[in-house]
Amino acid sequence: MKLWAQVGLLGLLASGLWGQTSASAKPGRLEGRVVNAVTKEAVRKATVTLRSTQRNAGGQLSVTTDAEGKFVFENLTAGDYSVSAEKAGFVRPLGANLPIAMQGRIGLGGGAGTESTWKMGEGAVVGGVELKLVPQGVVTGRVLDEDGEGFGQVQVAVWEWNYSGGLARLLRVGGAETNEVGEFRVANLAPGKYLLSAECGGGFAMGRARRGGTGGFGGAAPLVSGNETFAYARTYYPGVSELDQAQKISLAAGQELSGVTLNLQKTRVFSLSGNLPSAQEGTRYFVNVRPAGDPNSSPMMGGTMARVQNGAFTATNLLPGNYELTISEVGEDRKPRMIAQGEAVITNSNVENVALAPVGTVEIKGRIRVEGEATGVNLAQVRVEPRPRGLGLQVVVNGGNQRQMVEADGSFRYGELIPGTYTLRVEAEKVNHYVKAVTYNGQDIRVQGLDLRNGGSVKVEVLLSPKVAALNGKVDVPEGAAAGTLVVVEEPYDPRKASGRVQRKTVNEDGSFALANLAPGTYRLLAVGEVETKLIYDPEWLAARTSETVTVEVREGETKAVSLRQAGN
Amino acid sequence: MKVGFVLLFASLAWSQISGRVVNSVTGEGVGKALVRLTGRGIARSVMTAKDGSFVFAKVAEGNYTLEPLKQNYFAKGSAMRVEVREEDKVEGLVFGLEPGAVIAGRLLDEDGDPLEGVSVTGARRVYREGTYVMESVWQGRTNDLGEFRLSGLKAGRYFIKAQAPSSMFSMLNEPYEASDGEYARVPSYFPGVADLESARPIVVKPGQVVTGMDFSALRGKVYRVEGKFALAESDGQLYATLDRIGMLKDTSGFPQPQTAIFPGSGAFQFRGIQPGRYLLTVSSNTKAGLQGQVEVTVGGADVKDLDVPRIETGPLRGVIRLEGAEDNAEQWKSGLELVLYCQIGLRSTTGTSVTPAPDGSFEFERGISGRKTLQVQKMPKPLFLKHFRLNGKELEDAVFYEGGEIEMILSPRVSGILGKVEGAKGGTVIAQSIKAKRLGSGEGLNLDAEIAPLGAFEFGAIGPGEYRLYAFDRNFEENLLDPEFLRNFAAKSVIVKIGEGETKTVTLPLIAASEVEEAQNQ
Repeated sequence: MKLWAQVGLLGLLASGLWGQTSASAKPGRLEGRVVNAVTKEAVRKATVTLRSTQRNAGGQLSVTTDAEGKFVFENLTAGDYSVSAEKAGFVRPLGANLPIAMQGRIGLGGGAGTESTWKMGEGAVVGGVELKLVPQGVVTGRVLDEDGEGFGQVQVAVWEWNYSGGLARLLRVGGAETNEVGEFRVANLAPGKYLLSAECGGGFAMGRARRGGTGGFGGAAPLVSGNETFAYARTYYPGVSELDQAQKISLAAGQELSGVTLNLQKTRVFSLSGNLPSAQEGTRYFVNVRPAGDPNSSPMMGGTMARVQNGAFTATNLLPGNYELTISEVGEDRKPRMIAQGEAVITNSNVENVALAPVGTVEIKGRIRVEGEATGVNLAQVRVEPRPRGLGLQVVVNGGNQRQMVEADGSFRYGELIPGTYTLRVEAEKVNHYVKAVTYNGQDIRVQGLDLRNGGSVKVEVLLSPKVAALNGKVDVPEGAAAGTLVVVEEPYDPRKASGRVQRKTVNEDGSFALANLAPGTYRLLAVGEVETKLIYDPEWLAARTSETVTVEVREGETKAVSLRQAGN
Repeated sequence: MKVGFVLLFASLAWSQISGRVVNSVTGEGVGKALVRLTGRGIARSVMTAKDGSFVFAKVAEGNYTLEPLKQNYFAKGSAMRVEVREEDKVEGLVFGLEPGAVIAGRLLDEDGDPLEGVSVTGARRVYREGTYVMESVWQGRTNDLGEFRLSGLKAGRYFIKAQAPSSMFSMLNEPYEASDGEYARVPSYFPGVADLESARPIVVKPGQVVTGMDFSALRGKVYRVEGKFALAESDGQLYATLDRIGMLKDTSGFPQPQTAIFPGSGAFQFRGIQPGRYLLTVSSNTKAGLQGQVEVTVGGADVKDLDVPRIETGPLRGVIRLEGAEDNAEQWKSGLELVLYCQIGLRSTTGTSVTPAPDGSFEFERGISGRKTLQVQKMPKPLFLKHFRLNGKELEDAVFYEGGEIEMILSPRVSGILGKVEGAKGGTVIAQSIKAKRLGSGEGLNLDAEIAPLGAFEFGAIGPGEYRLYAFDRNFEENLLDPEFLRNFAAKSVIVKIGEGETKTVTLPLIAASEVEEAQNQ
């Protein structure tokens, strides 16, 4: 019980939001319990934090749960609050001790516009709040060298494919450094499927690192034997250097996977070198070398930076493979501009005099047209955004702005984009239309994209149609469960090819839903309860639920009714 | 055809360097160590074989530096210089690597539950700039099991400190209310004490792995310190800092408490302050030096309504002269710099430098308050600071607090000590100043000189005074200026008294490396 009273005012400014209730207002009270999401057992000594969600309110309160997992906040003034819990051994967001493991919003007092997840009791008392903490997953093991000896100071990283926003990316969700005998322990992992990698040096390099390291030697020169240079390549579980061959490890809540062994192999590495197309004084040059098709880098960021000296560049410690090189210059205005690019293949020797071609910029302009008799359509509300394919990251612009507006007459222009293959993302739902075609020279470019790798200016045409389709329906919600989420997948969905997309809709309390402004095509619908946002974009997660999915095809202007049953998670 | 052949042959006239890397404790070969070769604008590395042997084939003629590297090992001695001649074979080089030690344990709370995410520091007590401080050599965070593991440590004595990160990043360090006041998790030292004086160092030998060093992070009563500082124009943003007095200065871990002073009212508040004696100082982002200072004792209750007096200092001007020189515009001043060091609180120092005008006059524009030292740097020829006068008063060294007129007189009549060390082939001679004016350049009062291969050494261009000399059979890194450490060897030291312009010759006994190591591991 001694921990029960550990209530403190936190934050730099002591807020007047609680503890100083005026005589007329009744003080609020919030109480609840923290439980293990899997075992439902009470979690003792968890830190529960209450924050005001009102702007400028500042401050936060923390209390510790007692032996029964209970917590209470007293003397609260009216307002909106969020509450969260954290404890070592349970999942928390990466890189922060600040907790958002499970949280909910609570409205207290009679202020205008307060919404509450929990019904308020008499005298502003909120009780029975249950916060569930998910027990962490842990991976432990050893990293060994080619002789089976422990390898210290190696970066072990845990990765997850992320498909949010229709882009496939590898996200680093956890990691650790091996100790001096090669042992590692990565904790605080949420249940999920992960890739595991080990590498020396540059442990935070994203994606498909194709650069070897000698690691732990403080930037020592590479290992040279005769004319050959060696380094240790990034190794994925279960001991492969190619991302495509990496095996996923699956972690359940609270699972500890121990005894994982990763062998780092010493392999030959090579260099890429060449001459800069120009070398002006006062201008700095950056040479970025990226593995071709790397989802986690772009021509100006995230690859390997080559050493630039006396008008020449050299990138070292590279593994065999296909590479793209881009040269950027940063002049007095401090804005990077891409000036040249090239490609190189490393097989079994150093590559010298890499050929580089100067690049111009790309301009995509165009016009939106509406099929039929267009009346009163506010085209300025349509969003048009070019997306470089295979570059993973957002549009990179030479000097210019990233997002441009569509003019009222439907014209738009994106200038000074970097060369690449582009698709155009158009959203016309706000004006109740669908995108019927995006054409260049009479050909629809929505699937194959626009090849602008060598720069150039193109004029495209966007055709919108008012003959939208609609899907109405009802979800059969199992007894006792709350109506949840409807996942709408536009086919063919493939985030790695940037085709199709996934939307999330909330199902009404009575189970009904309505999807308007749809383009004609095929849709897959899946009704689920509570679901983590990242999962619905995951093709594997969707594929595992095929039997619960309803596929429906709608034609232009057609409205169909669908009924489906909410699946368990 | 013939010419081409000869040229080709000449370019193949390579040399070779080979040797062995051994464990300095066991004498066994160390495999998979990296040996780095640098010189002639190139850097190459090879890995040692299982028996510790290595070979650099195809080395071109020239001068090279070689050094061994391995994770968790330390190179004994400095890098080796090698001269390679054409078609030469340099063989039999032996490098010693000392294995690093490990200290591991768990950090627990008062119930014996693990504490995650707490910063753990391994610190050594070292002598720095005239005082002993705790210097961090290793820092990490406890994992989800509360475990910490300090690895790659040099043999020696380590204090282990646990400190929760500041409240910006974590809840762990936040003060919380209880019925009898505020408490917080306070910095704790192994074996679970709140003050450094009762902390127990852990001594490790080379390669030793010490586990089970579990300890508890303590909670303690903490207080608030509130007060006011009288604001003045052009103060800029002011900050108040609290430094603990009378305790061994601890630079490891997170910085000392600092808080912004409210621009309108001059009010400030510290929270979570442990009982003790503190020096509260006020510094500004626009003015050099200290703006205010007061001593405050915390304990028993919150400190309220503390008035921090402002330190007022007038401008600081002066003139620098060379003794015996009629024309003060002489060449001796070229390139010379005057650096004013100003101490802020107990920890940090800021430096401002000026170049004297042709007539020797100088001025530090902004009034700089607090404890100051003025040093002469970049002297173009051998000179020593003979007189330092502030407002007409002679000062023993260039340390002062107030402002005013300064007169500095340099003298070219420098003294010197020459000598020989019996039986030495290298190493360091340290001249500890007993009675001498602080020289214009060095940071401490000790001087060091390398011993030449035949045992000769030289201290040229020093000021007159009394010096105690020590000759060590090794090159020093950190204990050089530590008077406590040097005291171990007083019996083997020699005292030399030299007058102005005088040079004396002395012979010193050698202090063996083993004696030094023994003293270091005490």
